[in-house]
Amino acid sequence: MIGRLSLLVLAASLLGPPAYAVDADQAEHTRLTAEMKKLAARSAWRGVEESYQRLVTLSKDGLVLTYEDYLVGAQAAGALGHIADAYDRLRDAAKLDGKLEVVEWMEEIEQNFGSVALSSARKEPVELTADQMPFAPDRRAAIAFAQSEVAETGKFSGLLPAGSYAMAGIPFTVEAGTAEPLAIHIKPVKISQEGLAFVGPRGTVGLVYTSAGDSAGDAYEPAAFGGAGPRIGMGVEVGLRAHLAVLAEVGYHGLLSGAATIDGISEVQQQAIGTHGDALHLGYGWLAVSYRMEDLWLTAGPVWSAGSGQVSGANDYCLLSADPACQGASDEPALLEGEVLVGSVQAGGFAFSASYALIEFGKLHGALSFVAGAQSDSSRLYPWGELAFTFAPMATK
Amino acid sequence: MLGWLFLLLAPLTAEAGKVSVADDGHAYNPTWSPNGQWLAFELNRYGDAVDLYAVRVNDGVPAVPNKVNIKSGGSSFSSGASVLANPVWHPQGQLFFEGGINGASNRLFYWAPQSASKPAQELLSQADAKGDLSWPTLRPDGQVVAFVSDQTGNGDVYLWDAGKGGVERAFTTSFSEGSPAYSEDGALLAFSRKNQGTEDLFTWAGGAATKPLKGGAGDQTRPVFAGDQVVYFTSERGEGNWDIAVVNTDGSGRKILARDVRLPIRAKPALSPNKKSVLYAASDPAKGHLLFAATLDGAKTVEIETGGLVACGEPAAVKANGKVYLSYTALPAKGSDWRHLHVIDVTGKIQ
Repeated sequence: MIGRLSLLVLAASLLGPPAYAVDADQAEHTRLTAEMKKLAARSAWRGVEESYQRLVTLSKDGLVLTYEDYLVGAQAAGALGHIADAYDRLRDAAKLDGKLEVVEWMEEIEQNFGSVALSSARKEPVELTADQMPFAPDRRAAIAFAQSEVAETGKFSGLLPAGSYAMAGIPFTVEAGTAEPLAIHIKPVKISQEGLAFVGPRGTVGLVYTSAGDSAGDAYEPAAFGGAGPRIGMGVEVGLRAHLAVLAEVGYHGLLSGAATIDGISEVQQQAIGTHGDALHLGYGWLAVSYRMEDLWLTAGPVWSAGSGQVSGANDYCLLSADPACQGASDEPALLEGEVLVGSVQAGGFAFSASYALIEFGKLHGALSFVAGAQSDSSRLYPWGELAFTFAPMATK
Repeated sequence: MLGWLFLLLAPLTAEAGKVSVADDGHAYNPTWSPNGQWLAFELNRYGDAVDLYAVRVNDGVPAVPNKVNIKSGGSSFSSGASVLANPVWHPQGQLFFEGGINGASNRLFYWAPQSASKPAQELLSQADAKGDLSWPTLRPDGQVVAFVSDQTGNGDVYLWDAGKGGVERAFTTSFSEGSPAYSEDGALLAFSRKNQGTEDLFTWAGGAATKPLKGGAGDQTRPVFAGDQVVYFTSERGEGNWDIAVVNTDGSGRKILARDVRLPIRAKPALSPNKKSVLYAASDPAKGHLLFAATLDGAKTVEIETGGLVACGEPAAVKANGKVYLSYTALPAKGSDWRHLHVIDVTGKIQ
């Protein structure tokens, strides 16, 4: 007997939910439907939506939703801006009863809303904006819902009223009734586009005068010299803000001067020594901070140079010193001026420039610059000044 | 009585197009959509029940009216008395109106004739605008809704800018304001204020200050702009005697255009499509079969014969497809207790 009963119970359980469960679901359906109507009468649409979702849960256990359930659910979804959900519920209602109110509503959605798939790969929140907010409450709600989804999750898939929008500043237009969703994907920000005000090449070309002062005098080295030469640099300038930038520049810093006649020596001695000019060929690197005041840019930062040189004229160190380095050096002061020294230079220091932007070409400004610096190789100071043409990127933000 | 007006006495008759409504009730306050394709009107069923209808009009021929519901089409949500009134049309063709159910708070609603059976939607939630909301009116560019709220206990004018999204009180007073109307450029708002026992007209051009436009004995109410002039109803001759007057927006040039007019239940003075005439009906039952169009310069008044109808009132005119149509409400000479809405072609009679 017990075995037969068990079989019957088993069979009943396999055939469907027990009768008492269906009755309970129906009772809950009745209660939820009444609750939805009360809430809808007060336009408490979030409450209606919650009740509708409970009905949907019950429907998975076999409860059959009615036309009114779907219709009120569509109203709640529409009022909350979930237009795609509203359309789905209207379609379900229309399957049960194709009343004009449902058909017209669906047509209205098809004629006024378009499907979109919005997404953003950016880490930071992006904003969805509408060019013009409509009056219709459901359309306003649809936009507001999409805006909150985009702001919170970076994506939204659903229906938006036809019109012009922008996501993260990227404009797009939603057309009503399109079959395929309009896909808008916002790519990660390129640092030059979003994090920085501007970035671009910076270069300078000019005529520089460099003075090499007296050496410290504790070594056999060139005497003071100086001369003009070209200075050409190229680098990159990165605008951290519209008015503030950093730059890195490398280039060539030259000094070339003609030979000078040495006083106090005979013509024979002069011919024997020959005539040699001074020359420095330095490569330099400059890191600087630039502050822009409209067209006036002030730039300053450390500079380091290295290179080779050939200089006529030695200091008088060897006149008094027995330093082995002085071997071969002249012991006559006048002849020291004719000594030709070849060597290398490594000098660090500081450079400053003031530029005034005069022209624009492409995304670059062209400016007239005065550049000055002072560098030291620990033996002597090399002050220099340059008049140059500088190009640098425009500040775009 | 109209000796100072030049009265054109040649009666003009026209074929009436009656709007048939299944429900019983008096039709009031017909309001044309800007393109002349739709006509909204109230149907007063009494017992605190006023329904709102919108009827499509093709070449002057009205179709079957659509009843505007403010809740679901399901009967369970629309039982009980409701008052839906004061329809105004958005330039893009949607209908705005005020309404309430079962004595609940009066709110503003939005309805689109393109989906006529879809319930109207509440325009502003309680969180957006508290109190009973009434007298919706639209700035001519369609971007701002001005309305009256009794949130503070008095009627105050509020503005809702759809683009900005927020509701702002236009100005602060301790009086009760009503019936706002925008000038054609949207820069000026005229309204009436219950001021020292009577109703007077004021204007507001932004900021905190309002400017008296027209006061005096009796009530001056329901202003409507016609270019640089304001047309309004006035009862300065005593209770029950309503005239239509016009005044320049600077307060000068006031003149009475029509005396002893039939005061509509809610409607403002109706202007002709070119806004150079005001349309009205006479309170004199003997003239109940006529409607009138008086030019705003006071030079001419045209009579329009309605043809066998009585107690004509609430005229409204529109120009559509090169023709001018006039709607009005009237009782038949016999056979019905209900005031019906009619549409006639008055091309050539009203500009």
